[in-house]
Amino acid sequence: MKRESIIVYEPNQRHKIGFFKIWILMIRNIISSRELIVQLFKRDFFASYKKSFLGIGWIVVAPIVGIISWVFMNATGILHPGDVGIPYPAYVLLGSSIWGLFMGFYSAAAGTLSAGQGFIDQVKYPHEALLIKQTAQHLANFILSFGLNIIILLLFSVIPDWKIIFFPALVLPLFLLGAGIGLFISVINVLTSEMQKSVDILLGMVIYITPVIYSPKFDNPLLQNIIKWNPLTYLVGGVRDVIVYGRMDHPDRYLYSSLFALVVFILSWRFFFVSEDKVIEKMI
Amino acid sequence: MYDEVVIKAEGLSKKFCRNLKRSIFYGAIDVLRNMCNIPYDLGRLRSDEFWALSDVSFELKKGEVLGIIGLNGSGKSTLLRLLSGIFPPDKGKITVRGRVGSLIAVGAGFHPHMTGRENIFLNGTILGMTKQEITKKFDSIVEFAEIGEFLHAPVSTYSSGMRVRLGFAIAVHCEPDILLIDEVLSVGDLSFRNKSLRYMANLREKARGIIFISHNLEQVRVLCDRVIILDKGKIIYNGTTHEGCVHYEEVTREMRLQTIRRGNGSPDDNKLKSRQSSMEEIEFFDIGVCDNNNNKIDSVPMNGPLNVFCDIEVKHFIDGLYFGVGILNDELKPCIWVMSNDNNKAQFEAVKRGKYRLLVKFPQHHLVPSVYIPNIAIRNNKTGETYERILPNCSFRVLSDGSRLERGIVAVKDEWAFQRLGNGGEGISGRESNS
Repeated sequence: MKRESIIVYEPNQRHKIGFFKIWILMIRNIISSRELIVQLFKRDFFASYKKSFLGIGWIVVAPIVGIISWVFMNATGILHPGDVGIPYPAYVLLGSSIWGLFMGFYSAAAGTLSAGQGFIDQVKYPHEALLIKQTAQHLANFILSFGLNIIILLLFSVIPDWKIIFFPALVLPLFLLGAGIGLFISVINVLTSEMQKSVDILLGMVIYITPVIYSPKFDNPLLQNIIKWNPLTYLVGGVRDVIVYGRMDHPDRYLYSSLFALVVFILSWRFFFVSEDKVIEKMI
Repeated sequence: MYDEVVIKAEGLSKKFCRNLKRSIFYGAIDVLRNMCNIPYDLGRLRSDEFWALSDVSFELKKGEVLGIIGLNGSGKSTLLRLLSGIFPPDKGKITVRGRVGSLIAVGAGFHPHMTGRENIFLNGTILGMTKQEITKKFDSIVEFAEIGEFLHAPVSTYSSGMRVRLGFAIAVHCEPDILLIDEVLSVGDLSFRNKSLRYMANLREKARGIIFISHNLEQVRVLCDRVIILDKGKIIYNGTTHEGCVHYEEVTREMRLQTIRRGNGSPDDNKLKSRQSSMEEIEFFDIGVCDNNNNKIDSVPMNGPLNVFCDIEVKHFIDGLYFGVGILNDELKPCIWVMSNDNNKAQFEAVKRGKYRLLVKFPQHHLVPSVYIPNIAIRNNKTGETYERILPNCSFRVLSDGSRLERGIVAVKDEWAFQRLGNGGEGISGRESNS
């Protein structure tokens, strides 16, 4: 006999759910929404390119333009980054690609609730699905452009280390940190767009205190100190170093940074769960 | 059949904020409190907040179709969103037994650049169907939506009617245990509406319960077993469909009367001046309906007497006057129109300076319960000049006797017969009805 489901709705209901039960609930919701995730992914990924002649080709346009500009600047000698062990454009290309992955995780998560605009206030469904859809969409874009980047690396005679196979696991902390910040912003963004604008600007500046487009080997003690305490130094730089050199300079710091990212994600995930139903009524 | 309760709402309340900036501020405060796990009283109203729903309690029993009617802004859609679990309540509790599906906004999540086929899968999944279910019902959805060869065309190329039909077709194929329907049976042309209603009747047999929101009282009467009337977020009626519909008509009449009056300024009984320019010789004081003792009233019973009066001041001697008295409905269509000079009923010659009351008596008016506006025309007998006054702020109501819904312009007695034609035709009995 089919088991009858009894659902109860009460004020502050989500508040009362225990810290770990939330995890079980949200993961269960994601699993039960897998078909919805696929459909929304199809809608937003493929349909967004339907109205262009180049179609999905647009995914590779941006990285190609980026590479050309870096090669050009390098050839003219404007940039003197010092010895980074590999051709500088390849170094920057890889670093900025991983940085882009982090930023993508962040903006994908920040758009979680707004991705449901139009039906989020009409139909009941688990909104965690939107985060997964957003992230999947970003990853699809990333994988295509990252594949292109690897080809370019080979053209610069940079052969990635075999440890590149650990890439998906190594970027997981980047997802946790990016999605953690993004989920928080997603809820706040329904109320006011100021927070997202501020965080966008802030993260845009963080790239300058992360050794993405320059080598971490320099003398300025202040910048050295900032870079040392910046978790992204290890989360972005560490992944790049594994691909290029097959090792990390500071695996311990990578681990601490990963733990930090995990804590941010856990807190933000709970915040999202207890707050999102309160802000949805503001989306009308 | 009706013993088991499938939806139980107990003391439901929901508040919203009228002011956007404050709404953002309150939202931020609430979210901050949530984040820090600080408990707070949701039952308290802050500045600019109001109760969109207040202390709403009801039950939906198994197999029952419950109609929810109410004026715009009465809280119907908010209630459906609470029952669907889209919004959390601020007070009270909802218990739902079974899977709830809502027909709130048809076509939610449609992507204009995707084809009809792709959108069926997308929208069906959003509404909670599995891919397997959609595949199984796909042909039926397409047939129901009547989109034909447009199935493989992007939805952006559809007419608005086609889009709504497709959205509706997908939504009705969800077949949840409990169905919430918000004003969607009025989509499409007449034949599509009929098809939708047929489908609804089928669904009624299968579903464990239906909550149906509509402004169309005819649909409510046919589909619902019971109705609730919401007014300003509160339940003002919970009972049988027939009585509920009659009661709701009365509520809408009262509202229309207030709106008509409000929209044209408050009446000044002592010195009512028309906003239109008056003729020099005559000034209007008051227009309206009165009882047999000449006291102004704002409602009369149906099928009773109707006395229309008009108080004027004649400032100069006028050689001859005649009057026209009209009763207009709230769309300004004349329902009654009489002239004083028809068949030489009344002659008003050599009218001297002074104040006068024109009184026209209709011993039995036959108007259906509604809101009416008196319309007075005064004509100069010699020159033919006409001065007409329509005074919405002097509008009045014809009250229902509560027995039945009245339609059209006049209430008449009716007797019905339905017989088979041809040899040996026998009659099929029907209930007789008299006004």
